[in-house]
Amino acid sequence: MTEQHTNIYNFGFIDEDSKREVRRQLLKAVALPGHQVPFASRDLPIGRGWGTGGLQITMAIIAASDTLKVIDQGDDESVNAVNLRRLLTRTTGVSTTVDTQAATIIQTRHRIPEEQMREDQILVLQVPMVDPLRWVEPNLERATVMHGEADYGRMWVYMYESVIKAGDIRIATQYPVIVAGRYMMDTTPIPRWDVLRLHNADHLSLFGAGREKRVYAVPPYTTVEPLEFEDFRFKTEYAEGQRCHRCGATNTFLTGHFVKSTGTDEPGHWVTSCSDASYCDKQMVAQGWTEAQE
Amino acid sequence: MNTAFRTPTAYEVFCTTTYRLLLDCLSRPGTIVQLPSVEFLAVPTDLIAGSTTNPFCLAACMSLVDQETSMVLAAAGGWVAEHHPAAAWVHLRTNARRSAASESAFACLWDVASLALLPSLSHGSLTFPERSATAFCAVDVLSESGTWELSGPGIQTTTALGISNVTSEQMGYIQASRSSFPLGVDVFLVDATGKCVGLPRSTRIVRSRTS
Ligand SMILES: [Zn+2]
Repeated sequence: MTEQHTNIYNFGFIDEDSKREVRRQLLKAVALPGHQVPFASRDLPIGRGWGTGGLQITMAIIAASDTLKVIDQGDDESVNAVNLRRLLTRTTGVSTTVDTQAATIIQTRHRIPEEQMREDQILVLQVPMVDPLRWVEPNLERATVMHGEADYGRMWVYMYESVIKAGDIRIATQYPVIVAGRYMMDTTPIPRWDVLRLHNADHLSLFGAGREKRVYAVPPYTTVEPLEFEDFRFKTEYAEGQRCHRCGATNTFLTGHFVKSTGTDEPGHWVTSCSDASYCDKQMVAQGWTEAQE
Repeated sequence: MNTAFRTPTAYEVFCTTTYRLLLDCLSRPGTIVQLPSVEFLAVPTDLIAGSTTNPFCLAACMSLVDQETSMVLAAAGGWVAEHHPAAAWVHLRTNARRSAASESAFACLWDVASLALLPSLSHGSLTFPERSATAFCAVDVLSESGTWELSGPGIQTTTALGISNVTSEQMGYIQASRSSFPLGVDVFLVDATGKCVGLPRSTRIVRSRTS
């Protein structure tokens, strides 16, 4: 590679004007918790729907001194996480980590790390579908007017009808919440387990949707209340007696894996383990495990 | 890991460093952050005759502005004219668009007397509350104790804020700028040593009962 080719990108990939645009709109998002703020989204060398909204936020805020963690569905090693991390490190040179405690910025798709984040950390969430009102109002412009008027009656009716039909609130992920008592917000495809962890958190959460060109935010110490009813309370996926088959944790969000049969004695079967893979490893190491053992 | 980026300029590094501090203090109203040195910008202290320029305040405001946005200046309770040398100085370094104060995205207020101009800035609309102004105002001394009690998003319970040499009437303009949430003006206060506090429109401000 020639010198000419090694310096081809701006720091953080996007140009300074694009950064300023995202920065300005993020300040508005913080001042209006849960409100979707439009921004001029740029084309990136990653397909829309693969996190271009979250990516632009990280690119706009990242500094040389940051330590970055990128996860997808809780996993640092998934293809999507690896690709986004490579693009960010190649264009910033920042150090990276899988340890939640060591990161200053955590970019994520579909999970909030299990370990409680601190005041000095920022969580950036990738958002595929931005508006919780899409269930009752597919037109984004009309939905924007409804948010302006806090006109959420139809959404409450929709939720209640869903409860009556299914006997439970059926929305499994992207659960709608009310932020700071005012705006209804989509929580992105995080599990319901994570929804409550946005409530009065120590850290700042920033949300970016590339396709729909919106950013929104939940500042620290801000109320985040899932939609629920007197007779049908919000429930997480937590099941009494649940346990990670690897690290033994009883208080994490678990995902299932099928373990193939290893011989005639042991048939194939399902096991569940922590979805936050680096947290699970950390617990294992604390119990004396080394990677070579697995 | 092969890297492929050009080294950022001093101004770009300044803008990024400043931004993280602004984002942090707007997310935690009442928390005072120290803005970085602005010596490299060589802001003339006498940009506006009869008013002392707070270079930290001006530079922080400028760091968010480019040809996509407009910025107006005010001193001694009045807007600075478009053709004023101070406006030209800012324009030369930012390409900021010029617009009427009522349509401007950013306002840099040289002093607390100019807080009286807050009502004439854009407060946004119910459908587009983000189409509102952000004001940076220079103050003498900020402290994390004092007359004012803050509450709202970003604050665990309540937090105290001290601002020297500001009258109840002047604070009243900031209080009024958040009386019809989600409409409003977001305010940053920057003192003479570069200490900065963010007061998003979601922050309620009352006179502390203990003071
Ligand atoms: Zn585990």
